[in-house]
Amino acid sequence: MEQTLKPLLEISGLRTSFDTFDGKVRAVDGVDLEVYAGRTLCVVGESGCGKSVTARSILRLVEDSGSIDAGSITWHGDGEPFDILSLDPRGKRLQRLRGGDIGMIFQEPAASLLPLRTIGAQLIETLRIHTGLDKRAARARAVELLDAVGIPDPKRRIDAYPFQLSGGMCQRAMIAIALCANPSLLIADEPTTALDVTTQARILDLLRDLQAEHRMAVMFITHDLGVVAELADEVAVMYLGRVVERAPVDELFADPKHPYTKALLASVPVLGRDRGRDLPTIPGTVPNPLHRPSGCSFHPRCAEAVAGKCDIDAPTEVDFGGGRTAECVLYDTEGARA
Amino acid sequence: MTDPLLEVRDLHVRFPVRRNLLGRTTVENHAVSGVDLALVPGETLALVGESGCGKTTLGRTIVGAQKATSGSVLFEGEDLTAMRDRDRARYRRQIRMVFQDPFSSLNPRFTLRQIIGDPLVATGEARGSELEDRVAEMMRRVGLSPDYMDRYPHAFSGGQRQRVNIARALIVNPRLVVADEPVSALDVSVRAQILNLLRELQSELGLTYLFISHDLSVVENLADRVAVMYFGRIVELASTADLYERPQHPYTEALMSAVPIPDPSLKGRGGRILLPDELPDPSNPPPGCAFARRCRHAVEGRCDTGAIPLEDGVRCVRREELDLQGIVATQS
Repeated sequence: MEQTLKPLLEISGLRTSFDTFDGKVRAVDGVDLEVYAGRTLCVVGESGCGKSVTARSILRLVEDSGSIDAGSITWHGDGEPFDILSLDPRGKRLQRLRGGDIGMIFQEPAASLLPLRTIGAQLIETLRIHTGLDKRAARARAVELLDAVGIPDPKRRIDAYPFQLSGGMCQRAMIAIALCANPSLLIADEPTTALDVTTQARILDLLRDLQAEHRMAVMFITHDLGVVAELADEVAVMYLGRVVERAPVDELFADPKHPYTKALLASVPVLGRDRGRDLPTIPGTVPNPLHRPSGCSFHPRCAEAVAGKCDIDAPTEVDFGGGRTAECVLYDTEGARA
Repeated sequence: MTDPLLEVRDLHVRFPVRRNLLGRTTVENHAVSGVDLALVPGETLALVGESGCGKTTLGRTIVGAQKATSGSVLFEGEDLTAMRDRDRARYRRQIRMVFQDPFSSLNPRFTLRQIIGDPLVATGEARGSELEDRVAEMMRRVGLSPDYMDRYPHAFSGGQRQRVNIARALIVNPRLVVADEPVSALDVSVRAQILNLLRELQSELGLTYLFISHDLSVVENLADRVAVMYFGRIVELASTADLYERPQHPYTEALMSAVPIPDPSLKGRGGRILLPDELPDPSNPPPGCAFARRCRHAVEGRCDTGAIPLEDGVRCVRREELDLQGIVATQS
């Protein structure tokens, strides 16, 4: 049913690479993703799989040594759809997109807020840029926003510096900044990884409530499968710069198709399931993206790899219908098991 | 019951925050406030709690990296805190530590041979070919090829570096290993490998673990007993099965209810307890239960006065009245 909807954001064939001393690292190597209004897409993967770079590419926030080499990122917000990658990097439209149409929150809340300015000043600045409110109105709105994200005593806390607030409170302030212009899409890059579980639970609840309230799309990047189960509508599993599997959340957990997803789900200790027992493991480690294995990049670690096939040709994407895809030779093109 | 290998008695660690003109400490942070613990040989005791609860400080004090303000740490009945440094050196090799961050805990200018062999060189225990043999043997044991002996840490992934860390800790045949968040910085797919390795080494070498972690699912997987710490104190101590299935302290219950479970059919499962963010001031601990202000079961006049003792492994005045929700074991 979602297939008939028009996506809000459509990434297709995205390639982002970084020039390093040792050579060119293809961090994102042909990624296709869609984000729908009012839904949550979780992007899961381990370090180096390109999930953060994908998110940053959307806002054109790739650092200097990196470049977006190919692909398109189409924004279907109100008005004519356009390719974000073709925007003038210094232009007004991109500025409006960042923080206006698309809000973003990052992993380390304390590190992404300016340490020398109060959270109020940072929030008011963003508000004034994107909503054109005057100083006094922006301040009043800032207090409301801080209250909405659950910061107690917002009238006083608005003048607090980030170091005076706990990690959870800083993350709430970040969320307030990201949401102040009522974005249609919120990109959250591991926003709870640095937080304690009890704080994480509250931030996740907050995000869920805010999403329901504003009918916002959320692209949530995480490595924590528990958080995925809790939050996602759709899931994209990434490995070494590619999306290897996509599925609605229930189906992904109930019937993972890609061997990597299967192995990942099995190897995570689950409360109440794995007490005292040896866990199934994935052999080896995530390869250095500079030395990407030939063929399917997961094949050296894959329990189901077919010699002579997986190590030679890159697998094509198999479409199972209903928003499910997997990049694996185990399935033929009709989606049945080969 | 067997004699404990390690016993911690009424341990306090305080950090000075501010001094007055005369150099006397006027404000101090209470990191560990009166911890009693005993580890029997061969078991894994996990220490769980959120950041700032004092679990790392407690671990560091046990290995001797941090001085205790008061109280004692007894290893096989000998009080390590009362010993002079020279005498303590004998025990240093019996208690070893594995650190959290495999990227910053290895000297980048040393080869694996130097890193892993260093404890042997420092104690003058082995050199030359014997040193090499023992390093090679240890590397094989933790799953690293001895061919890598002359490489530097930067060439290795997080999981491999954590193996190096473990090899360095184990090369002097310790009895007790204090592992401080050893898998937190690792990728999900590598975490299981290291957990299995720790379990395997424990049964092979008869090690005793003090496993410090904030991750309740990892702890459930590895630990025999669990101590939950809050604000410098142990609030609950029980066997893993009892603690997870029948928590008796409201903080334990809240902590467990907050863990996201990788099963979408449990999405929005009932019983999740949301805690207010108010943490007590570590320089001025409140009277009574430190958790009282965040606790939904707290009763005014009972929870916020006096010292609350740890009775039957629970530090809560209402422990007999409350019926708390644990984790229901699932079949897979």
